Amino acid sequence: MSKAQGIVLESGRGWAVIMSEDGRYQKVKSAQPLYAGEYYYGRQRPMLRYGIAAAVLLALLAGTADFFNVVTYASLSPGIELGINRWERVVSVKTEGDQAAQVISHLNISGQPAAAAVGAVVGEMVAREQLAENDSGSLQVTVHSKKNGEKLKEQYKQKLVAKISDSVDQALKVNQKVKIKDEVIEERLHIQYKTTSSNSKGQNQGNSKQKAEQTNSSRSFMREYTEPDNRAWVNNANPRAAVPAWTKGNNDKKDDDKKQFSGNSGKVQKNQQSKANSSKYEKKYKSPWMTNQGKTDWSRLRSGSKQKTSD
Amino acid sequence: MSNAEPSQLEKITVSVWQRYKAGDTTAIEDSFDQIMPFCLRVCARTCGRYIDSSDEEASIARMAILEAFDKYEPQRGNILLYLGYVIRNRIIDYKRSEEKRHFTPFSAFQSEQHIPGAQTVDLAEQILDDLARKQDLDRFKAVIQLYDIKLEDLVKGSPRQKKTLQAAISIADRIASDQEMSTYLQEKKMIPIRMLEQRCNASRKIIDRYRKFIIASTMILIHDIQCLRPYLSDRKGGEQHV
Repeated sequence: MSKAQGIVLESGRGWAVIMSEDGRYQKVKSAQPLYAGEYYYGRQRPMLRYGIAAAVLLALLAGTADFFNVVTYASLSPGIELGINRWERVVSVKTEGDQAAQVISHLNISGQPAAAAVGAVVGEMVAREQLAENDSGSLQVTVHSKKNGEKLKEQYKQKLVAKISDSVDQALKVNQKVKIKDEVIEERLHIQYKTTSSNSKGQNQGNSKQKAEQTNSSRSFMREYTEPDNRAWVNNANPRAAVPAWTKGNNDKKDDDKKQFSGNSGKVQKNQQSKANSSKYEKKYKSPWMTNQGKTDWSRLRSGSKQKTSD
Repeated sequence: MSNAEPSQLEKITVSVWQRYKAGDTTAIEDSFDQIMPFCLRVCARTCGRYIDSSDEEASIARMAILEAFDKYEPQRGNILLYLGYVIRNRIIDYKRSEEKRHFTPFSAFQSEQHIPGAQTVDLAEQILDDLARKQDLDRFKAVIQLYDIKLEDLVKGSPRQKKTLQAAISIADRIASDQEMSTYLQEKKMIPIRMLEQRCNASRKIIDRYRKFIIASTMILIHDIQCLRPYLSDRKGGEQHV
């Protein structure tokens, strides 16, 4: 029998006041029936809770152990080996040599997706090496199983190599390198690249300038066309001067308006110009069914005749 | 813990049974308050939860008392054990009928000469021991009530830290062992602080803060509450400087 933790002094439904073994008075909750005078043996937690807690802890431990379990290795040419888990995440990094260690020291790739990590390493390596204009560089990425002699599953290997290849392409582009050769032999990805040339860079710049100029000119060209000839009416104090005559009912009003503003010679000239322009507009766009007074000739419309008749 | 108490309840129960058998219909009602706590504890142990007089199980227990008194004979042994046995069976029958099982009650197959099982005997004896301790505790509650102290006050006013707890219990021990101080406490209902400071160099802060706890502990020692004394006297290192 387990040791009593105290004695019950008073109790109710779900609670009890006990004197604990050190002489202290405590109020405890208990689902068990407790009555005054009974010994208190402490809470008896149901086994189910312990079982669930143990299962959850076990699952967490197993998940953690599985996360850090290396399934595949990705080896890069200058002595860098990345350990990859089943979720294609980098969980270990090993380097051989100072150069490799220097490359890795500037990166934080633990826990990152394998393809992105390889891309980052390649980018760092490429950025560090100083290639002359016509020289080319090469790198090699090998994907192999953790266990010696064991081969990776074909589908998994192809998928991983493809992802790494894409990532390496992006890394090369960022560092202004051009891929010359891309070879995938079984588990090995062999890439050759070179620096993009400076002339091509200058040409590119020149082309861009021309393009900008063309764009600007086209814009000005468009601007000219979008502004109609009769935009002068905007500056004219009389907005009705450039409006086509067929829209207006009485030409006399127009003359009155002109007289009102005739004091300003500049404006009169503009008015005359706008008038000339409007007459051109009239001639060009006058409807065949319109009378000289600007009204619609319905009889002409019904008959379909387009000949002008004097009114 | 004395053995007088369980036999006292047994004596009461036997006398009630004798009066009931003689035709006194009020015998059970008169002793109901003394017998019922035992019956409720048997119900609680059987059901596995707290049972009070308002529960359905309590009414089952009342009917079981009548049945036990009807069927009991001195040849069957201890009346309390028999009473506990009958109550337990009736509670089990009630639980089974609640679950809507078509099950013939266990008691229907019981022969007249059946002796209560070992489990029932242990249960009844355990309950009787608990009831004996309860009487001690009732006495303790009555004593501290004279000093206007409730158990809730003691729960709130108990020292949390081990060192302070030991100091408070040592002060209580000092008061209980000193005739003058214990008399002062029982007469004036106050702790003799000056005497403690002079004689024991006790901390006034501890006395003021845990006054009720010290008084309750002193009463346990003075009135020799057997079931609680072991919890105060079981201190490591013997007497300590307060």
